[in-house]
Amino acid sequence: MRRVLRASTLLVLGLLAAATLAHAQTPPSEPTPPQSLRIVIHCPDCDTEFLKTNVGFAEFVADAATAEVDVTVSMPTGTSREWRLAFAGRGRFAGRDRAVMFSANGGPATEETRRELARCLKLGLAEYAFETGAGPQLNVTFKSTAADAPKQTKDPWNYWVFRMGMDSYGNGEQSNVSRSYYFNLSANRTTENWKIRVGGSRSLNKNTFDLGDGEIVKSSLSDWNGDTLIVKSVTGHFSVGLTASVSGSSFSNEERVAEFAPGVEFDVFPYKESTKRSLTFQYTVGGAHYDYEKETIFDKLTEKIAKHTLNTSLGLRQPWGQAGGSFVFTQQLSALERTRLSVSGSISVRLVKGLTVNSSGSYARIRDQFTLDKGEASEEEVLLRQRQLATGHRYSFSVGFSFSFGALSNVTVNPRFSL
Amino acid sequence: MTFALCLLPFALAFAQEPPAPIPATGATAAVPMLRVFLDCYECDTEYQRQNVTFVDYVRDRTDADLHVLVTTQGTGSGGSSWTVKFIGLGRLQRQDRTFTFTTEQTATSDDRRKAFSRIFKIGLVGYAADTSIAPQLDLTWTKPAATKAAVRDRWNSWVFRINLNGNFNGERTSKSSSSRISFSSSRTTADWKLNVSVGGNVNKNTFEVDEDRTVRSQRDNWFTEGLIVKSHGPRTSSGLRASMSHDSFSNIDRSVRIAPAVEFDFFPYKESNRRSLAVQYTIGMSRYQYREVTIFDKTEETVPNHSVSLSVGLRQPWGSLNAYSQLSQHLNHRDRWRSAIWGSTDVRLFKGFSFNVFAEYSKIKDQISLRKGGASTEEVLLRIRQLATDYSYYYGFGISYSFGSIFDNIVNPRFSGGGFFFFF
Repeated sequence: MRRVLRASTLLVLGLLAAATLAHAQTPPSEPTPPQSLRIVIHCPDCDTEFLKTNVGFAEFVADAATAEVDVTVSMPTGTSREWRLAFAGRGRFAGRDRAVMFSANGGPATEETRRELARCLKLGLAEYAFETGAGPQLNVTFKSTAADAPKQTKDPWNYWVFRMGMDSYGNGEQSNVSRSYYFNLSANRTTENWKIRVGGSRSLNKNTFDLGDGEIVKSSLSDWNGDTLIVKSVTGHFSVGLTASVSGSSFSNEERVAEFAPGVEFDVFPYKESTKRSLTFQYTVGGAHYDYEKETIFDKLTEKIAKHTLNTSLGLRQPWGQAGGSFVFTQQLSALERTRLSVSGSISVRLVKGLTVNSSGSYARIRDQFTLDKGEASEEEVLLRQRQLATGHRYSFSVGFSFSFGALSNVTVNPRFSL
Repeated sequence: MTFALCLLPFALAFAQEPPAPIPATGATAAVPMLRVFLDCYECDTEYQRQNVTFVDYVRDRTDADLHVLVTTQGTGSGGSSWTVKFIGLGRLQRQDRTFTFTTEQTATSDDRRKAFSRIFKIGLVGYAADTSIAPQLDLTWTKPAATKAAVRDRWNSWVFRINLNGNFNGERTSKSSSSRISFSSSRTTADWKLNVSVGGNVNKNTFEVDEDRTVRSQRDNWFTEGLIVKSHGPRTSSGLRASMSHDSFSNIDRSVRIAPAVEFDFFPYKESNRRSLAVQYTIGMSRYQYREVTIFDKTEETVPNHSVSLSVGLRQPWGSLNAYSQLSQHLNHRDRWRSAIWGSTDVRLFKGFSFNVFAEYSKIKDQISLRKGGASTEEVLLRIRQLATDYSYYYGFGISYSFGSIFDNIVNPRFSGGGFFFFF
């Protein structure tokens, strides 16, 4: 430790000396953008005073030569009701041109027309004004109406999406090789009212180690599953669903497991706020049929069980950070003492500017390891985590702190020597 | 071979230079909603789909009117500098716009997605102004209370960071833990880049194989390193790296290294968020002290060495490509060398189809730190010690194909398990 300290001190001192050198170079200040956008508007009949009051972030100049954006308004002609605003960038905005149209019934002096004109002027100027001092205070608002949903006009696939994928990973050197493969297939249909998913996947993982004296250790893990989920939205807070699956896992001694479970779910917050907050209670009750690869510790090769599960989950993503938690209780209805209780949580919080704490943890109380292989596990199986082992609990916990201070608003990007 | 590989994307990158925009064409009123392909890793696209609802989202760029390509780069203070490129397609061809903004290092994920959302909407509004929903759009501006005077930076661009992390898990017969600590200080300006960091790492595992036998393993390392880089013009830089480290896996009790280097980027560094092709030459000296006698019967030695590396990075509408290759050699034993090539690409080949590949291959002729003597079964299986090899590789590839509905508007979180988790 002393060596580390000494080394660090030396290095820090050396670099600080160099930094003093660098210090002589004053850090470049960001060029400050002009406070407001200078525009010139060509529209003899428009109520310019009204526009000036309503487009506060722009400065209306009389001299076209000093303007950064030139706006030409064309009034409707003949029976047309269409007004056209042509925006042309000047100076630093040269070449950035745009046109915005709107329809209005009355002449330029009517309330409706001048409001629409002001609104469309603002929409057209948005991209230019973003690069001025007014940029940080600009915001786009959208008044949605019930008529907007459903948005898209026609969908020949009726919302169905089909996906297939394949992945493979591997690594190796002279004395060891590891490979894994993963295939998946799914069909999904997601609408506000229904969610349907049918899918399947298969994964394989193989390792080979050469112990040096001609002895080779090989290991492999294999998983597969086919699953389906159907969910019907009942209200903004409530849904009913059904899951059914068939799967197999060499790690868990499961040759084939067929499961079926209908359930209900309630979200305390509206589902449409799910990216900000959710607190759901889900209850499912169902049955499963197990076929084992090897005889279990209860001397079974096959069995049927009935079980029910309560799952409570919380998810929050707010300006202060994010947090999530869950509580899951599962119990076999055919053997009430076989239960599993899992509690988990994670949190990432900005305590004060620069200081973030994140932590996650989970604990499971396990009383339902009925699928365990009866035979003894070999040393390799233990070290390479090739099979599930008997345990009454399982935990994981992590905590991290990150504290930053100094010139936190330095926005310089310097990609040199990033490798 | 490496060079040829690097030339191809180089040519591609040049071909991708966008043409100068031409004046906007007069669009007809009431065209359907804008179809947007949001190409972004950091935006929380689900959040954007729920909150920016005046466009239709599509799953593939070939169905879009507008491809929104978002890239981020780290800033000197550890925040992000975002570049949002709106690429017009079809009827919006050649109407490209670019917006940039930054988020601070202290921003939470909610702050970041909100900041992006605001700029995303400002960028979209010009394109959406001729679509059917245009009458419902407006732009608001709140006059700031008082203009803030520019604050003098009393830290003179220095940023300091401390990180502490611990991970622990276990069950009845096994447990493992890993702890990390690091401290870094950096000063980044356009002309200079200075970085000093100190850190350490310990990993432990315990397995109860049976009642009489328990296997324990440990890997630890620590480092202290510094980097100074000076910019010389838009494409050239010179730098110096100095470090001191320890690594139990490699049988290194302590190593000290000092190495000056020069770097040249064929593209100006300021385009690095979209493309870069850099070559770097380093010459240096390393001093090693070993934990145990090596296969060459050494307990310590000094090695002068040099290396040359070439790297390429591209992020373009068709996807991304990154590649890196390095050749290093000892100057006192020219037959001790190592070459490595690494590449990664993600390509949208045609509608619905994409593939990604990453791979590394190293030819190794410089394993001078290997411990003398055989390795135990546990050391091999638990990977706690470096083993003799002439090569090492890893690879991954994936293909994905999808078809069906082109839209991606709906967020339906029901029966998804609720909540959300993230691990550190």
